[in-house]
Amino acid sequence: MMLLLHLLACFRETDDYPVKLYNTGTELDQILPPGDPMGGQIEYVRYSLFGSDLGLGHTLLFADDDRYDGLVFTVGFADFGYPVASGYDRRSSFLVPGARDVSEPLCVTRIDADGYPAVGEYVDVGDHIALTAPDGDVIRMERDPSSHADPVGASTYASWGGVLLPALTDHAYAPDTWRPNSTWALTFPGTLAPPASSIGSVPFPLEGASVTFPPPIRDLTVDGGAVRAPHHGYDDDGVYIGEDARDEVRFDGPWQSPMELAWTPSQAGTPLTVTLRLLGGELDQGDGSVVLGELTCTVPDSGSFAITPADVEMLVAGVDPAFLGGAVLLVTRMVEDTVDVPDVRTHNGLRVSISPVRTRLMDIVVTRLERP
Amino acid sequence: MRLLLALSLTGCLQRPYPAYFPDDAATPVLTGVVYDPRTSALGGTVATLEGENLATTRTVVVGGRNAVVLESADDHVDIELPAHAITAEPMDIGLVTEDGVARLAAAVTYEHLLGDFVADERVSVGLGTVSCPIEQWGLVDGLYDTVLWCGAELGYGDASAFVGAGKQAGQAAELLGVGGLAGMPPANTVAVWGPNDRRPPDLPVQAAAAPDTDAVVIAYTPDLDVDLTYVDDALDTIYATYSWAFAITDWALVVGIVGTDSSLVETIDVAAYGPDVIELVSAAPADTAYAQLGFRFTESYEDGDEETVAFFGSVPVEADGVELLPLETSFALVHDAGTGYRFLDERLPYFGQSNVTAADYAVSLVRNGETSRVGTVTGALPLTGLYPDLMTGDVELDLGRGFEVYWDPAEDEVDPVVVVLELNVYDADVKESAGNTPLWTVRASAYDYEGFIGVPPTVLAGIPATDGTFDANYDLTGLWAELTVARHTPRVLRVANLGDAVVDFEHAVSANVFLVRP
Repeated sequence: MMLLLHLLACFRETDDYPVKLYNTGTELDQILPPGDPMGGQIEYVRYSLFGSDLGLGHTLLFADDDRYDGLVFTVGFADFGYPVASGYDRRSSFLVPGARDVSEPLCVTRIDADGYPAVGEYVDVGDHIALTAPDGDVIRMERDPSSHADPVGASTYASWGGVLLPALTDHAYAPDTWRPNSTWALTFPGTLAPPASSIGSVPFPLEGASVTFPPPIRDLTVDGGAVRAPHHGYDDDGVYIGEDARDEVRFDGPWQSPMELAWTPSQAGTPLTVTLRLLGGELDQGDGSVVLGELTCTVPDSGSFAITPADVEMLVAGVDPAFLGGAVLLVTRMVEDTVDVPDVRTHNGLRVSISPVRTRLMDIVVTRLERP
Repeated sequence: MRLLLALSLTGCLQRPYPAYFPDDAATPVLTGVVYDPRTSALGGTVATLEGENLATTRTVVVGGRNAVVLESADDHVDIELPAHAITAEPMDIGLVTEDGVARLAAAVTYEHLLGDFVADERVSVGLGTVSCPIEQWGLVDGLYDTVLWCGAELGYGDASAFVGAGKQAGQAAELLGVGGLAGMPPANTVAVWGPNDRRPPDLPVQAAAAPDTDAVVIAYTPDLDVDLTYVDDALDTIYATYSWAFAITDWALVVGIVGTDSSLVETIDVAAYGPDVIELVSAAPADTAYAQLGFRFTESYEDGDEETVAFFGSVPVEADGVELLPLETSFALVHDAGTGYRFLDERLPYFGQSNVTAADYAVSLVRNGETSRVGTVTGALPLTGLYPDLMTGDVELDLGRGFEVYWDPAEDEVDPVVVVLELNVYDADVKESAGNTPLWTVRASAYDYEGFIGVPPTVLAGIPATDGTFDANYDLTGLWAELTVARHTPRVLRVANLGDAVVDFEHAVSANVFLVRP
């Protein structure tokens, strides 16, 4: 029986595309070693909404009601907890990473959004987390809550970030909020949670750690068309021609024929993460925060990659068309690392290690696809 | 039985978490704190913590926010107090050394601009108006020109409320969303933040769970003489500031007739008015339910006429031929489950500036479907005599000389009335929806009776001149500055079994200004 199946596979028809090997499985754990136990995540992201009818929902942090086509912004998010869990290694608040260290494209398909790692006790590390450039520019992720709740005892949770910043590089006055290829210091001040709180705390500052910004995604095209910011209401020369004038930036998708991506490779050769999302929700063309399913491909930095209809077959089959609202493509450069942090002091004065903590900086370009 | 024994042994072999600081010998102790009790929400003042075993202090938190450790010795630690949203209760101090932790409960209290007035605030109501110019002046290709800014309405009125799960000192003063008091320096001081500086935190809130029936209901008897005089004064402002006012060939005060279905039916000119009646030039429909108060004017040009109609508020009325007789006006601020705040319902077809006056406002709370009257507060008059006159849309401030803002103090000084100023310098090319954080922020405050706020040039030293330019599409581009002056007149009512209800009447005037450095 097994021999028969193998023989059948040999005779499966394929299109003539550059040789690539891929595995499409439902979970990374099925095809790769399991994630490492970690005690938190610190993430910082630049989004470029380079497509039609895109909103903040694609960050998975905000509602998607308003459209912000062309907007470029940054946002960070961090949280910590114990006991340590592999979820912090494998999951993300923004975009789930695929496989790492690939020599050939490798894709996985997920149906339904994954949840967050379950924690026994959240951990507070201070009223902010800072990324500091060598020249003194500072990006701060403020804690939510800004101070611990009164009445005390309601403090059961702490996170950082979740606030949009303009994406600025080399502004005449404002500090950079995004600086590709650079390495910045990562710090937090440490804290002591209120005695009646059920939250743990890292009592000492984090020092000596750093994060690195990924290389930019340059010259990205889909099927030969530039992935760029729409200029609704303006012509190609920047002249205002009326609020009803639309400049559509959308692509067909790989549903009927292959979709070809091209870009300028980076000097560092940092792989790309290519994500196709099928969206549900009540909004026209789907709500960015309602992910019915997604295909995540880790792609070597070769400058080109094609997604075929066969690659998305499992994704399309796994989503009920009655709930399908729209589709988007996300192309990401991601720099992942870990940092060791001082041990946590639990709410009852005990010592727990939550090291290492996952750090992840991502440059994400989002564009619109036609739905299958 | 053997299995049970095996499982028990397994449990014994698993190590529990160890104590974080196992050695008690050098555990720190806090015995007191010395600090300036006038410390505001901005923090920044130096405090000295007293105690024992403090030499290796690494971390200090005040009310959960991190202080800067300046110097530590065995018997004391000097810290810089952190910026902190004002709380009603004293804040605890927590300290960590290499050898242990120490706490000092209820140790520090920051001072709010309104002092003890808001200490027991539990119900927060904000009734406010924002005034802004009809046009904004700027440069296009080096030539001075205008763009339509706030239009003929010259601003807007708003009302909202918040009922918290606990005390929330000063929340009422934040509800209008413009010219709030949180993050303001003490009276007669000026604070400035640059591009890399950390702003003070917003007021934290904890929404109280509430059923859909919960609301704050506000009712008052309108004085149409006051309301229509407000509209008339607004028209005078148009004449004084609108660059095309020379083209106005016809104008009138008007009433927008609103039927029982809340739709605007027609607009009729006002012939005359008094406190209790409006006389129209023609009869109103018998089923008129509301009158929207406003004006119209006609600009005449070579290629035709342009008519503008602007409304400033609405009142329920009874129509009797050409006369409209006002009825008691009420509106409700209804609980929104998504945000926890309470927003205007649609009882009034148009809530505007003329709905926020010096009238007596009766405040009631609806809880679990039952209405209870809390009390009556007297509103406040708008800010007048403001200099420089932001409503012109072309105010210039000299960074090299500093500037002063003047106003006519209100006559009623029963409660603490404060005036605040905020100057924000921003880059108009950085899209606001991405979180357009101001590059520089200058804040200052004073008590209303003082009549002015001064900003010295030393505070403005690092701020560049603004561009004040429009691009070819007449969009703002480059550096701009926005100046807001706001007066807060808070009133307080005691709510049985709950705490205080603070009703903040705010009038803010806001406009872009030119910063020059000759």
